[in-house]
Amino acid sequence: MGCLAYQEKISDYIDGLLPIPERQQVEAHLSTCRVCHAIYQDLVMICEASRNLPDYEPSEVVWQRILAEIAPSGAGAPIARGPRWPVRRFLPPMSRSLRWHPAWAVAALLVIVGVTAVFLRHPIQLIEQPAPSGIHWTDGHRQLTIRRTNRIIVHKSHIQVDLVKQRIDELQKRIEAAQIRWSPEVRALYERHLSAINHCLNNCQNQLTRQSRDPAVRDVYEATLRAKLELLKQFAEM
Amino acid sequence: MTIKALEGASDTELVARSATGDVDAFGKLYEKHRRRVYSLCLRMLGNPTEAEDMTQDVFMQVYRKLGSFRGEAAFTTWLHRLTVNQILMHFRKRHVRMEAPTEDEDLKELIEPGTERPQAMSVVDRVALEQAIAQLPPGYRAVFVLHDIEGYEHEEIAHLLGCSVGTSKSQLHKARMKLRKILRSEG
Repeated sequence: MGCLAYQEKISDYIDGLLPIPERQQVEAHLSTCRVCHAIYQDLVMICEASRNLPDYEPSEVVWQRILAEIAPSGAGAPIARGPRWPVRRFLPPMSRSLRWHPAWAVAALLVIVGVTAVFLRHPIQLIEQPAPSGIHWTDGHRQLTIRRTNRIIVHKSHIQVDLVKQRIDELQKRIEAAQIRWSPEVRALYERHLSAINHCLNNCQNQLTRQSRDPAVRDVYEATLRAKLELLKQFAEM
Repeated sequence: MTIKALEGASDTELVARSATGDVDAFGKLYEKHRRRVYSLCLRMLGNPTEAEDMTQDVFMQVYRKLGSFRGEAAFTTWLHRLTVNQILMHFRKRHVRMEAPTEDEDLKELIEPGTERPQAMSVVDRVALEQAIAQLPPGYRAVFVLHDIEGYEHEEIAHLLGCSVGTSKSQLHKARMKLRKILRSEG
């Protein structure tokens, strides 16, 4: 029997599937043939490495899509597979470079969670003037200020949700048309941020389904809607 | 049961609650098993977008079939089998070639004596291995992932893929040899 015939038996030898006489023959050959022995060692290493491969995390969007299909009162209409931001379709299979940036997702989630936590912890305050420093969001209905102290101050009691949603729809259409010109990095960044915000919105909507009169949840919902609007505005201008 | 109370719940409890329409319990089930399902889909399909779509399909199937889950097997086993079946059905729908390549293609993976330096690889890089697996033809990849990563026996793979045990063994060996070739050429 030549090397090629022995090579065909190496995998069965590694898996312990050869009868004893054949196993001994393969062992004898491996002890004398450096090429076949190197192949044997390589395959053993591949098998061992394969057993220790890690699991990967799907994006948040997957659960949102499932939830949209199974939730009884629904977080809106069934989404099925869309809208899908096409960034990953441009990536080579298993590409690590853009497939998953935990830092982006974590950063976006931290912003949302932080906003939510602070919002729930502190009572809403009405103030006359915007703070001299920090981040300000406004669209004429309500002004939201995040100061460096991390306190969120809401200037008016409620935004007109329908108007904001309408504006969000318009911006999303604009972005959908424009994003074909974006680089994969920008698309990935946009997708991650949007995904985190949508996750928070989804949670709020679910909470509101159960406790529609809870003012704190409604305020978080509105604040998150505003965050989404701001995100879309920024990306629509790109 | 509150969301906090679901933290320590077993799969059986979560399944029972999910079957009654408890979305939080189903969310917990998803949270516990999503990585395993997604990773299997990703490796079998070799494409993150398709893997996410497949993960969604799998969990939708799970949700619809929870009522028929009788608990004879562990939930993880049932889920795993359902995932593999969904992926294989996807391959069939797309007419992905699962049969063994021709003999000429087979021979490319075998090493003629004297045509290669006899040094073994020093190390197998995990990322390189994942990328090499993604480059395998679908038939090879399916057998390799099921056997070497997921721990299926050849008899089970043959049953799932509708081929003989001999074909499964042969595909696995060729998959390993092809991986070796890819890793050596990139190393």
